[in-house]
Amino acid sequence: MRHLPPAGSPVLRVTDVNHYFGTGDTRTQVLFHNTLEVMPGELVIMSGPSGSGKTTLLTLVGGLRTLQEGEIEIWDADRGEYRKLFGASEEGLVHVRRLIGFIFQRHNLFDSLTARQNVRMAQQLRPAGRDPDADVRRLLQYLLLGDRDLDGRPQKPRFDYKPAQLSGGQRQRVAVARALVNRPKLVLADEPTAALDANSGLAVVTLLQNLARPRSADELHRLVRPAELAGDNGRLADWQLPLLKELASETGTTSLIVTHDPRIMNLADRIVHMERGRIESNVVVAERIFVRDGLRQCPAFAAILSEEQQKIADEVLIGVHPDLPARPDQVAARPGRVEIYEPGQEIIRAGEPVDSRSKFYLIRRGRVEVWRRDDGGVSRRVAEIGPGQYFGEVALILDRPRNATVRAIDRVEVYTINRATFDRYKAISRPFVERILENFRAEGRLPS
Amino acid sequence: MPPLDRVPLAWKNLTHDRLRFALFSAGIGFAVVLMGVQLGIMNAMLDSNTVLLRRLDADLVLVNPTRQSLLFRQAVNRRRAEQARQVAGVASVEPVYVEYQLGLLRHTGDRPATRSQTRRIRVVAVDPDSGVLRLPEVPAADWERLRVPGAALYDRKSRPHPDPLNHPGETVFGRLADGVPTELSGRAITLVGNGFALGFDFSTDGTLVVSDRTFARWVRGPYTPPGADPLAEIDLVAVRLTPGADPHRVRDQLRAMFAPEGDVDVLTLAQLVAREERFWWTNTPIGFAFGIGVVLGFVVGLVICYQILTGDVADHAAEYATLKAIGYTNGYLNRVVLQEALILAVAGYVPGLLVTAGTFALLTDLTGLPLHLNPARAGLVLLLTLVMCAVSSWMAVARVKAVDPADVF
Repeated sequence: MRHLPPAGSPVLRVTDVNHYFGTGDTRTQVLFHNTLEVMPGELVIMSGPSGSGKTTLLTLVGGLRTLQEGEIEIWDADRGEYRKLFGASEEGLVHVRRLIGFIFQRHNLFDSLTARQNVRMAQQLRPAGRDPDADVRRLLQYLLLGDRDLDGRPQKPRFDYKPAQLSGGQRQRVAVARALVNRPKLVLADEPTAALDANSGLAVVTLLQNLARPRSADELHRLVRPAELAGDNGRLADWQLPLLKELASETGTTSLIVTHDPRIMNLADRIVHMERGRIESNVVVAERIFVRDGLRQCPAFAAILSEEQQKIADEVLIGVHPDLPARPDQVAARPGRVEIYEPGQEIIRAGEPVDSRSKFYLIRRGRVEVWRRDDGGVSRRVAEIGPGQYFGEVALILDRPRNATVRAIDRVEVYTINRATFDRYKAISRPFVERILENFRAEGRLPS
Repeated sequence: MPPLDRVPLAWKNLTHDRLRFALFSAGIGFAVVLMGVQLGIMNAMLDSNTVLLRRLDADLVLVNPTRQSLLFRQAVNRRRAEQARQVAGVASVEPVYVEYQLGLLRHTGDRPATRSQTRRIRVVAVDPDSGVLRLPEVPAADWERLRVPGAALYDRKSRPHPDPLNHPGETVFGRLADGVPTELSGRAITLVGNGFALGFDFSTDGTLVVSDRTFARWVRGPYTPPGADPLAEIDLVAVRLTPGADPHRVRDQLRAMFAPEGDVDVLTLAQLVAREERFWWTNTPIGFAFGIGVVLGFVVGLVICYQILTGDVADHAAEYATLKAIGYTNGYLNRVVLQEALILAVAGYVPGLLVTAGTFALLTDLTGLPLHLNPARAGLVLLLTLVMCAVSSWMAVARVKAVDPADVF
């Protein structure tokens, strides 16, 4: 029985990790206060220039180096508990390594062993399944090393070929099979597709994606396409799809991939960018899209360049998928970005003057109700809005007191953009804002 | 995964390149031959000095406790042999006389120019009817002929003449054959029969077997005071037990009987052989010289095996690092190296032993030394080879430990 972490809990938690190389006078710090959480089923891309510390962090996560400062916790799906790496014994580190599938840039296959035996070397680390050899063959078959090529034509199976008889790409696929044969819940990969052609690369990435979470049949069938349509993006064969389903019958695998391959970058759930030993940005792609799309609806941000929209979005992201509630510690880790309100709590109140502390709000989770006084002074509920919708912009545009009260209906999380940022972009979007104001006047919401 | 289903990594790593594996095996085989031949020569030396004892047909042997080797003169009085005969369970008591100093054999050559000087020869005397000396090459008829005073059986494996080209088939005593007349200690004797095969050793060039009566008159008599019995002092008393008698009990009874005087020790034949071997081992350079040879062979093999194993670890450093990274323990990798060492041991042992056996045959043929490759000795060489390879794997383990799994990224 293999367990997933409790809902909302990460599969990997890196907390304030520092690392040093050398001793004495030559001791050099290479990682600085790295903190990161990765959720089950995420495809995480680690980017950054050479020497930025990606690989060092990866080796620490994999239990391949001794953790010097900070803590790394990895979810042990077998035991249903976190394994802490700080101060772990060699035995403990070995256990952690067995939880992980490693794909290295160099395949490092044993020349003396066949493709099948190389994969079985990893497989025999865990209790044998019903037919372990069949699983290895299935995996190699899916990775185009079996008796069928991409067009379904028969070919000589490479199962019992030794590495010297295989091409570089074929060896790399064997190494991928070795990493995935035990269906690890965490995969650490260093340029896994660098040596692969487009079709093999797509097969590997699609497998990683499907091990993460199930994809729809339509989504997969779109990848079965003629070569002329596939281009550099590669294609799958229709006979690969049932194999893929069998291989990825158990999902929830998280992949941490160091890569510069744009084909993978586009599929990332989370992009962690490192510079000079620090995690400079940790972006959940869905959250970035969520915030950017929300901002686009607001007149103050709608007319600015999409790069500018993204820059604003990145300033409020907290690295948590918008489908998941943010924990207080996650909010506290990036102050000033997200606020949490309990049911019934007022977020803004009508008549409040705007000042330098006033904000613009984008709803992340939960629903709010908007109350406004009519001409007779009676307060009426005029709207109920939810995730992806915004409020609080009118007072900031007009520089007038708040014209409505906004109250949380249930537990609400809102992204907040401070007035200084709002004003900066309001100035850029002035013509657009002017048009909006004219609309307001025409609707009678503003005096002409 | 059942053990048989596991990938045999050590075997695959070693045999992947067959030529290399053959060279590796040859390297270990070389060490096996070194050790085997040195051990063989050492054992041959010890064997040659104890071959006479091992030909005795005896359950127990009475010897003088101060006689550490057959070479010495200390003997058991005939009276003691008679006393032993009275003990329950003793079937027979047969005296065996062995003389190293007084037996001088005249060269058998006809022409004086080709003769060497008269040469010392070991003379063994028994009652021809007793059957106490097992010489399978000697038929009963020859034992009959030995009854005639002055007849002697000769050792056809006596030390060969140093110049075999000009003296083919001759020993250092000249031509030894049925009917050849010569002199033993200055008195005429005749060689009879087709000879037996005991061989020479450090202390003697050959052996004559005579009857106890011939021995008394030809060898010991001239040196025995008038009136005294030249056969009164027996070198070895061979005791045979009645069927079903418990040798330990009889030995204990004999010991108890001789304990007050303390002039007789009662040994089994194996103990007697061991005592003789111990003497040669401790009082001559045999043990040291050939022991060093064995140690050198062991060390050479150790170095060869260590080089092979560390070379293998270095060649597969990235792969071993990968295995560590995916969750294999140092213990597993150590076992792989140990398995490789043991495979090398066996792969080197088999051809090495064949070459050793061939070398034994060649050396025996060239030198006359009795080099025998019995199962115990072959087993000892196997054990030494296994230990040698296991120790080298233990030394190579440090290299495995040094492989850093973080290097794979």
